[in-house]
Amino acid sequence: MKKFKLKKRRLNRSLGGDICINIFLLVFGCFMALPMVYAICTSFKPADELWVYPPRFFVSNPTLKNFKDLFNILDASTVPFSRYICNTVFVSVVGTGGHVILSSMCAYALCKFKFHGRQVIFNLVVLSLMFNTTVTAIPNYIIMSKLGMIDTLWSLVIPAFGSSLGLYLMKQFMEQMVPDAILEAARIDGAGEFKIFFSIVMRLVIPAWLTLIIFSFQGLWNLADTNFIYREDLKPLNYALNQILSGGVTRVGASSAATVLMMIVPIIMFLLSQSQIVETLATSGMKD
Amino acid sequence: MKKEKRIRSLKERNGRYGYFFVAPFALGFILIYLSVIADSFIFSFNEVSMGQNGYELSFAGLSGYRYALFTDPDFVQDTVSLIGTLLLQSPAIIIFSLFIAVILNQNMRGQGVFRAIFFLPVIMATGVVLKADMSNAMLESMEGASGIETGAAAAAGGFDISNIQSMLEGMYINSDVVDYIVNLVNNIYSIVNYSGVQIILFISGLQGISPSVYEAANVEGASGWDSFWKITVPMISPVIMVNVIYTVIDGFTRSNNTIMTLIDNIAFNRMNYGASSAMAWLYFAVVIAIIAIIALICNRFVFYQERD
Repeated sequence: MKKFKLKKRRLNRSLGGDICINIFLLVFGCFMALPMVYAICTSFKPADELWVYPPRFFVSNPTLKNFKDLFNILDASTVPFSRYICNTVFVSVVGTGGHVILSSMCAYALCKFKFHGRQVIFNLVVLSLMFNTTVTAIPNYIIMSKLGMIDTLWSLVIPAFGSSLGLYLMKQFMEQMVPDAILEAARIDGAGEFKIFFSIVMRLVIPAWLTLIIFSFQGLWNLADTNFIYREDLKPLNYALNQILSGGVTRVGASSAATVLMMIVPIIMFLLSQSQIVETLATSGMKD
Repeated sequence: MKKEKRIRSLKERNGRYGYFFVAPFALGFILIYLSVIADSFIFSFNEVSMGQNGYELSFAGLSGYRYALFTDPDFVQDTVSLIGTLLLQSPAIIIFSLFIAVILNQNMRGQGVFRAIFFLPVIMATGVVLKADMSNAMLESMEGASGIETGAAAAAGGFDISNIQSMLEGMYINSDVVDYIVNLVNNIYSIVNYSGVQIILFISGLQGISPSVYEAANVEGASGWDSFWKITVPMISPVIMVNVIYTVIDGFTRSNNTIMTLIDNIAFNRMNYGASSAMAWLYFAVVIAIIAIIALICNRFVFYQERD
């Protein structure tokens, strides 16, 4: 598709305003980036610098020792490192994919079809967003064990499918972005419901589901401990690293290296999908 | 009596597809989430103890609720103060994130990098990253004070909030307003920290506005200020509502807030699962009431493009 080239500078924007905005963003950006910069610096610090008081912000003699330590520790464990990575990638990718498809399907139906009980379903979903997860721990475990999903990766993936935040966001975005007229036009042209859903609705809400991918992937990648997995070779990377971190003071260096490693992937995911979002700017199909 | 075959309207026939689309999600949802929540409702009226098949229940009536409301010293008080804090913080978060999102939505260099930076707190606040001791200490020190008291960043620590306070008071501004502002400045890091998700939502909402609308306004002679209030805000108002609700829910269910820790503590340290379920349900009711009020108020201002 040939894209209409937008003018770089809008008429009513002044140079001074641009500079102000950039300075503002730089200042705030530095502020927000500080913790990450600090984490990265820490991961390159040799042992003596880690314990300097008051702590120094930047590293003066960078080494890769922390990373080597981390991999040594991981090598020493009974399960190979690649196994943990596979588990995590499986959980994040399958969980995210399923979640995005299922929740967009549901959201599409909830906002574009009129059927009995749709308001009830939507209300239940929104209400469940607000419920405290602590008190559901015991029944949760029992349901998982009745489904036979204890000690399988599905115990992490399946709940991700049904997480209600995605549905809520998708529904709100579809209400804003998908005009009824375009659906009617497609129906008159003879498109089936699935065709409409996959090639029109999903196309129109690309920014929404890319956003959803970011949230869901980020959450699953960094999944906090759950009570459903006890077998060592099924634990995701994050659990394994958590076990390392609980090694206490001697592992500070390795743990900061782990932090940096865990951070990189969500950030890359984010940058990738964000660049996609920008591309979708001019794809609106309506002329009214 | 003659049985007549009912003729379905087009809308009804299409409605059946609706069930089809909803089914997979609804099934999983009912199975995994709803049944669990229903169980916890039953727990709240019972004494929960360990038994042969997992757990045993003995009916205890309202004693769990009575414990939450009248016996526990912290529950009521903490809930009230939490509501106060969140209601004050939420508008600041929304305004800040809308502001940042509008800026980040402009055509400019380094857009992607800036967006990533503003999303960083969300990544930093989860999983291993949160647990890593050193950076965590760093985060805490940043959350605690408006300045950072560590090493090279000491220069930023020279900023003193009391100067602003006395200046504002000198201008005869209402002391409540001054307190509010001072409170915000003190919590600036947590406000910035909690607005990562909202910024992203706003940006994707802004992407949905067709540039031709702005072009038309521009041709008609509207200034940037005009088109912000007359185009951006109404067009994005559904997202504003989503964000308001998200912010409030996020604040209330954040796992490190006082009530959540209290409930956690009572469930697993004092092993009083019934009472903690009762507390969770009371808290749930309070949150629902607040969200309902907010949603009612917001709904009056939301503008849906396709509403007919």
